[in-house]
Amino acid sequence: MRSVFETMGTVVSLELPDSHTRLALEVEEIFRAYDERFSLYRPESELSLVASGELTLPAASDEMRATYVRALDWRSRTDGAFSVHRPDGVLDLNGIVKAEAIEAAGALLTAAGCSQFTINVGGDILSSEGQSCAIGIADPAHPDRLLCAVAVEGTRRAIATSGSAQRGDHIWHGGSTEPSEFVQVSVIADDIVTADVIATAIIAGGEATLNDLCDTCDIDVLTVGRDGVISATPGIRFSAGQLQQT
Amino acid sequence: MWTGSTVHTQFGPVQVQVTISGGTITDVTALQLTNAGGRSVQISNYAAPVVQSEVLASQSTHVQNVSGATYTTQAYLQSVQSALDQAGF
Repeated sequence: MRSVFETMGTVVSLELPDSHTRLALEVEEIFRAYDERFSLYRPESELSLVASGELTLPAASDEMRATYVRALDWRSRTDGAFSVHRPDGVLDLNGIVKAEAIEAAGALLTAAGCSQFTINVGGDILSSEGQSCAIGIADPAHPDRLLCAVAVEGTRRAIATSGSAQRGDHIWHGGSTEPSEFVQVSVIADDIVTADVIATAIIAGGEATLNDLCDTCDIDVLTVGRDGVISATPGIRFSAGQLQQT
Repeated sequence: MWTGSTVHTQFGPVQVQVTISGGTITDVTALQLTNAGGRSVQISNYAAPVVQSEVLASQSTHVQNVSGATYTTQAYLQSVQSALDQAGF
Protein backbone atom coordinates (compact mmCIF):
# COMPACT_ATOMS: atom_id res chain seq x y z
CA MET A 1 0.00 0.00 0.00
CA ARG A 2 1.20 3.48 -0.75
CA SER A 3 0.99 6.29 1.76
CA VAL A 4 1.75 9.91 0.99
CA PHE A 5 2.59 12.62 3.50
CA GLU A 6 4.30 15.99 3.61
CA THR A 7 7.55 16.70 5.44
CA MET A 8 10.62 18.92 5.07
CA GLY A 9 8.80 21.11 2.56
CA THR A 10 8.27 18.20 0.18
CA VAL A 11 6.21 15.04 -0.22
CA VAL A 12 7.01 11.47 0.82
CA SER A 13 5.61 8.51 -1.13
CA LEU A 14 6.03 5.37 0.93
CA GLU A 15 5.30 1.92 -0.49
CA LEU A 16 4.85 -0.83 2.10
CA PRO A 17 3.43 -4.34 1.95
CA ASP A 18 -0.13 -4.54 3.32
CA SER A 19 1.24 -6.52 6.26
CA HIS A 20 3.42 -3.60 7.38
CA THR A 21 1.31 -0.49 6.79
CA ARG A 22 1.31 0.29 10.53
CA LEU A 23 5.02 1.22 10.12
CA ALA A 24 4.06 4.27 8.03
CA LEU A 25 3.42 6.28 11.20
CA GLU A 26 6.83 5.38 12.61
CA VAL A 27 8.49 6.44 9.35
CA GLU A 28 6.60 9.73 9.44
CA GLU A 29 7.83 10.25 13.00
CA ILE A 30 11.46 9.83 11.89
CA PHE A 31 11.11 12.57 9.30
CA ARG A 32 9.32 14.82 11.78
CA ALA A 33 12.17 14.40 14.28
CA TYR A 34 14.89 15.16 11.69
CA ASP A 35 12.97 18.20 10.49
CA GLU A 36 12.52 19.47 14.03
CA ARG A 37 16.23 19.24 14.75
CA PHE A 38 17.71 20.40 11.44
CA SER A 39 15.26 22.77 9.75
CA LEU A 40 16.60 26.28 9.22
CA TYR A 41 12.98 27.33 8.62
CA ARG A 42 12.27 26.67 12.30
CA PRO A 43 13.95 29.39 14.40
CA GLU A 44 13.80 27.12 17.46
CA SER A 45 15.46 24.11 15.80
CA GLU A 46 18.82 22.98 17.12
CA LEU A 47 20.52 23.77 13.80
CA SER A 48 19.03 27.28 13.82
CA LEU A 49 20.53 27.81 17.28
CA VAL A 50 23.92 26.56 16.06
CA ALA A 51 23.70 28.72 12.91
CA SER A 52 22.93 31.84 14.92
CA GLY A 53 25.74 31.15 17.37
CA GLU A 54 23.47 30.68 20.37
CA LEU A 55 24.61 27.07 20.65
CA THR A 56 28.18 25.92 19.98
CA LEU A 57 28.86 22.62 18.23
CA PRO A 58 30.72 21.09 21.19
CA ALA A 59 27.59 21.72 23.27
CA ALA A 60 25.25 20.40 20.58
CA SER A 61 23.62 16.96 20.60
CA ASP A 62 25.50 13.83 19.50
CA GLU A 63 23.14 13.61 16.51
CA MET A 64 24.00 17.14 15.37
CA ARG A 65 27.73 16.56 15.66
CA ALA A 66 27.55 13.18 13.92
CA THR A 67 25.74 14.72 10.95
CA TYR A 68 28.19 17.62 10.89
CA VAL A 69 31.19 15.28 10.87
CA ARG A 70 29.64 13.18 8.11
CA ALA A 71 28.98 16.30 6.02
CA LEU A 72 32.57 17.49 6.53
CA ASP A 73 33.84 14.08 5.45
CA TRP A 74 31.82 14.38 2.23
CA ARG A 75 33.17 17.87 1.69
CA SER A 76 36.70 16.48 1.61
CA ARG A 77 35.74 13.41 -0.42
CA THR A 78 34.23 15.71 -3.07
CA ASP A 79 37.15 18.13 -2.93
CA GLY A 80 34.91 20.86 -1.60
CA ALA A 81 32.16 20.50 -4.23
CA PHE A 82 29.73 19.42 -1.51
CA SER A 83 29.44 22.33 0.86
CA VAL A 84 28.21 22.55 4.44
CA HIS A 85 27.89 26.31 4.49
CA ARG A 86 25.71 28.71 2.58
CA PRO A 87 27.54 31.48 0.70
CA ASP A 88 26.67 33.79 3.61
CA GLY A 89 28.59 31.49 5.93
CA VAL A 90 25.62 29.98 7.73
CA LEU A 91 25.99 26.30 8.58
CA ASP A 92 23.51 24.42 6.38
CA LEU A 93 23.28 20.64 6.62
CA ASN A 94 20.26 20.33 4.36
CA GLY A 95 22.38 18.70 1.67
CA ILE A 96 22.66 15.59 3.83
CA VAL A 97 19.84 15.68 6.40
CA LYS A 98 17.04 14.50 4.11
CA ALA A 99 19.16 11.55 2.93
CA GLU A 100 20.06 10.68 6.52
CA ALA A 101 16.37 10.67 7.42
CA ILE A 102 15.63 8.35 4.47
CA GLU A 103 18.48 6.10 5.58
CA ALA A 104 17.11 6.00 9.14
CA ALA A 105 13.61 5.23 7.85
CA GLY A 106 15.00 2.38 5.73
CA ALA A 107 16.92 0.99 8.70
CA LEU A 108 13.75 1.08 10.81
CA LEU A 109 11.76 -0.80 8.17
CA THR A 110 14.47 -3.41 7.71
CA ALA A 111 14.81 -3.89 11.48
CA ALA A 112 11.03 -4.31 11.73
CA GLY A 113 11.19 -7.20 9.29
CA CYS A 114 9.78 -5.33 6.31
CA SER A 115 11.67 -6.76 3.35
CA GLN A 116 9.88 -4.95 0.51
CA PHE A 117 9.59 -1.18 0.52
CA THR A 118 10.36 2.01 -1.37
CA ILE A 119 10.72 5.43 0.23
CA ASN A 120 10.57 8.35 -2.17
CA VAL A 121 11.23 11.73 -0.58
CA GLY A 122 10.94 14.56 -3.06
CA GLY A 123 12.48 12.43 -5.81
CA ASP A 124 15.22 10.72 -3.77
CA ILE A 125 14.45 7.02 -3.49
CA LEU A 126 15.61 4.13 -1.31
CA SER A 127 14.32 0.61 -1.91
CA SER A 128 14.70 -2.54 0.14
CA GLU A 129 17.70 -4.72 -0.62
CA GLY A 130 17.24 -7.30 -3.34
CA GLN A 131 14.18 -5.62 -4.77
CA SER A 132 14.21 -4.64 -8.44
CA CYS A 133 12.54 -1.31 -9.22
CA ALA A 134 12.06 0.54 -12.49
CA ILE A 135 12.54 4.21 -11.64
CA GLY A 136 11.53 6.99 -14.00
CA ILE A 137 13.90 9.96 -14.32
CA ALA A 138 12.02 13.25 -14.44
CA ASP A 139 12.51 15.46 -17.48
CA PRO A 140 13.92 18.73 -16.07
CA ALA A 141 12.30 20.72 -18.89
CA HIS A 142 8.86 19.09 -18.55
CA PRO A 143 7.85 18.11 -15.01
CA ASP A 144 4.93 16.09 -16.32
CA ARG A 145 7.21 13.90 -18.46
CA LEU A 146 9.96 11.35 -18.01
CA LEU A 147 13.37 11.26 -19.65
CA CYS A 148 13.87 7.55 -19.31
CA ALA A 149 13.64 4.67 -16.87
CA VAL A 150 16.51 3.07 -15.00
CA ALA A 151 16.75 0.04 -12.75
CA VAL A 152 17.55 0.16 -9.06
CA GLU A 153 18.29 -3.40 -8.01
CA GLY A 154 20.48 -5.74 -6.02
CA THR A 155 22.75 -3.84 -3.66
CA ARG A 156 22.21 -0.64 -5.70
CA ARG A 157 19.28 0.41 -3.54
CA ALA A 158 19.34 4.18 -3.84
CA ILE A 159 18.86 6.88 -6.44
CA ALA A 160 18.95 10.64 -5.92
CA THR A 161 18.51 13.49 -8.37
CA SER A 162 19.68 17.07 -7.95
CA GLY A 163 19.16 20.03 -10.17
CA SER A 164 18.09 23.57 -10.62
CA ALA A 165 14.77 22.80 -12.32
CA GLN A 166 12.49 22.77 -9.32
CA ARG A 167 13.84 24.92 -6.53
CA GLY A 168 15.87 27.46 -8.41
CA ASP A 169 19.64 27.36 -8.17
CA HIS A 170 19.67 26.09 -4.62
CA ILE A 171 23.06 24.44 -4.85
CA TRP A 172 26.09 26.52 -3.97
CA HIS A 173 28.96 26.43 -6.45
CA GLY A 174 31.75 27.15 -4.03
CA GLY A 175 30.77 30.81 -3.87
CA SER A 176 30.39 31.10 -7.65
CA THR A 177 27.20 32.49 -9.12
CA GLU A 178 27.88 30.89 -12.50
CA PRO A 179 25.13 28.51 -13.55
CA SER A 180 26.00 24.83 -13.27
CA GLU A 181 27.11 22.89 -16.37
CA PHE A 182 24.33 20.45 -15.57
CA VAL A 183 20.64 21.17 -15.07
CA GLN A 184 20.03 17.74 -13.59
CA VAL A 185 22.16 14.93 -12.18
CA SER A 186 20.91 11.50 -11.06
CA VAL A 187 23.14 9.15 -9.08
CA ILE A 188 22.55 5.48 -8.29
CA ALA A 189 24.52 4.05 -5.35
CA ASP A 190 24.30 1.42 -2.63
CA ASP A 191 23.14 3.97 -0.06
CA ILE A 192 21.02 7.08 -0.25
CA VAL A 193 23.46 9.45 1.46
CA THR A 194 26.16 8.67 -1.11
CA ALA A 195 23.68 9.07 -3.98
CA ASP A 196 22.27 12.35 -2.71
CA VAL A 197 25.54 13.99 -1.71
CA ILE A 198 27.27 13.05 -4.97
CA ALA A 199 24.35 14.29 -7.10
CA THR A 200 24.59 17.63 -5.31
CA ALA A 201 28.38 17.72 -5.63
CA ILE A 202 28.30 17.05 -9.39
CA ILE A 203 25.78 19.86 -9.97
CA ALA A 204 28.10 22.15 -8.00
CA GLY A 205 31.44 20.95 -9.35
CA GLY A 206 30.51 20.20 -12.96
CA GLU A 207 32.33 17.81 -15.26
CA ALA A 208 35.57 17.69 -13.29
CA THR A 209 33.71 16.49 -10.20
CA LEU A 210 31.65 14.07 -12.32
CA ASN A 211 34.75 12.41 -13.77
CA ASP A 212 36.52 12.34 -10.44
CA LEU A 213 33.63 10.76 -8.51
CA CYS A 214 32.80 8.23 -11.26
CA ASP A 215 36.42 7.19 -10.97
CA THR A 216 36.62 6.91 -7.19
CA CYS A 217 33.10 5.90 -6.10
CA ASP A 218 30.93 2.89 -6.85
CA ILE A 219 28.13 4.81 -8.59
CA ASP A 220 26.20 5.19 -11.81
CA VAL A 221 25.33 8.65 -13.09
CA LEU A 222 22.97 10.23 -15.61
CA THR A 223 23.42 13.92 -16.34
CA VAL A 224 21.44 16.47 -18.33
CA GLY A 225 23.62 19.34 -19.52
CA ARG A 226 22.61 22.95 -19.88
CA ASP A 227 22.75 22.32 -23.65
CA GLY A 228 20.27 19.43 -23.28
CA VAL A 229 22.86 16.68 -23.86
CA ILE A 230 22.20 13.58 -21.78
CA SER A 231 25.18 11.54 -20.62
CA ALA A 232 25.26 8.27 -18.72
CA THR A 233 27.72 5.81 -17.27
CA PRO A 234 27.78 2.27 -18.75
CA GLY A 235 25.63 0.77 -15.97
CA ILE A 236 22.78 3.18 -16.63
CA ARG A 237 23.00 2.73 -20.39
CA PHE A 238 22.74 -1.00 -19.87
CA SER A 239 19.81 -0.93 -17.45
CA ALA A 240 17.88 1.67 -19.47
CA GLY A 241 18.33 -0.42 -22.59
CA GLN A 242 17.12 -3.56 -20.79
CA LEU A 243 14.02 -1.78 -19.49
CA GLN A 244 13.21 -0.47 -22.93
CA GLN A 245 12.98 -4.00 -24.25
CA THR A 246 10.49 -5.11 -21.61
CA MET B 1 29.05 1.11 -37.19
CA TRP B 2 32.74 0.21 -36.94
CA THR B 3 34.33 -2.16 -34.48
CA GLY B 4 37.94 -1.58 -33.59
CA SER B 5 40.53 -4.23 -32.94
CA THR B 6 41.35 -5.27 -29.42
CA VAL B 7 44.15 -3.24 -27.92
CA HIS B 8 46.14 -4.40 -24.94
CA THR B 9 46.68 -1.61 -22.47
CA GLN B 10 48.27 -1.45 -19.04
CA PHE B 11 44.75 -1.93 -17.67
CA GLY B 12 43.95 -4.98 -19.83
CA PRO B 13 42.29 -5.57 -23.23
CA VAL B 14 40.06 -2.78 -24.61
CA GLN B 15 37.87 -2.80 -27.70
CA VAL B 16 35.43 -0.11 -28.83
CA GLN B 17 32.65 0.27 -31.35
CA VAL B 18 32.08 3.62 -33.08
CA THR B 19 28.81 4.69 -34.66
CA ILE B 20 29.06 7.31 -37.40
CA SER B 21 25.99 9.02 -38.73
CA GLY B 22 25.90 11.91 -41.21
CA GLY B 23 29.67 12.17 -41.14
CA THR B 24 29.99 12.62 -37.38
CA ILE B 25 30.63 10.22 -34.54
CA THR B 26 27.36 9.78 -32.67
CA ASP B 27 28.33 7.07 -30.25
CA VAL B 28 31.32 5.22 -28.87
CA THR B 29 30.68 2.00 -26.98
CA ALA B 30 33.23 -0.07 -25.14
CA LEU B 31 32.69 -3.69 -26.20
CA GLN B 32 35.34 -5.16 -24.05
CA LEU B 33 36.04 -3.67 -20.68
CA THR B 34 38.98 -4.47 -18.53
CA ASN B 35 38.52 -6.22 -15.25
CA ALA B 36 41.99 -6.79 -13.91
CA GLY B 37 41.30 -5.40 -10.45
CA GLY B 38 38.86 -2.73 -9.32
CA ARG B 39 40.90 0.17 -10.61
CA SER B 40 40.68 -0.73 -14.30
CA VAL B 41 36.92 -1.28 -14.11
CA GLN B 42 36.58 2.20 -12.66
CA ILE B 43 38.48 3.65 -15.59
CA SER B 44 35.63 2.47 -17.82
CA ASN B 45 33.05 4.21 -15.63
CA TYR B 46 32.81 7.57 -17.37
CA ALA B 47 29.59 9.27 -18.35
CA ALA B 48 29.33 9.44 -22.14
CA PRO B 49 26.69 11.20 -24.26
CA VAL B 50 23.68 9.01 -24.85
CA VAL B 51 22.14 8.51 -28.26
CA GLN B 52 18.48 9.43 -27.89
CA SER B 53 17.03 6.08 -28.88
CA GLU B 54 19.33 4.27 -26.49
CA VAL B 55 17.49 5.22 -23.34
CA LEU B 56 14.75 7.63 -24.28
CA ALA B 57 11.22 7.17 -25.53
CA SER B 58 10.51 4.97 -22.57
CA GLN B 59 7.46 6.93 -21.45
CA SER B 60 5.51 3.73 -21.64
CA THR B 61 7.83 1.81 -19.34
CA HIS B 62 6.07 0.86 -16.17
CA VAL B 63 7.74 2.69 -13.35
CA GLN B 64 6.66 2.70 -9.72
CA ASN B 65 8.53 5.83 -8.70
CA VAL B 66 10.11 8.90 -10.24
CA SER B 67 13.46 10.41 -9.30
CA GLY B 68 13.76 14.13 -9.89
CA ALA B 69 15.23 17.25 -8.36
CA THR B 70 13.52 17.81 -5.02
CA TYR B 71 10.10 19.20 -5.66
CA THR B 72 8.23 21.51 -3.34
CA THR B 73 4.91 20.38 -1.97
CA GLN B 74 3.27 22.59 -4.59
CA ALA B 75 5.36 21.33 -7.53
CA TYR B 76 4.60 17.78 -6.46
CA LEU B 77 1.01 18.25 -7.60
CA GLN B 78 2.19 18.66 -11.20
CA SER B 79 4.66 15.77 -11.06
CA VAL B 80 4.48 12.32 -12.60
CA GLN B 81 5.05 11.00 -9.08
CA SER B 82 1.78 12.54 -7.97
CA ALA B 83 -0.02 10.75 -10.80
CA LEU B 84 1.59 7.45 -9.81
CA ASP B 85 0.60 7.96 -6.16
CA GLN B 86 -2.98 8.66 -7.13
CA ALA B 87 -3.00 5.53 -9.24
CA GLY B 88 -1.88 3.70 -6.10
CA PHE B 89 1.53 2.43 -7.18
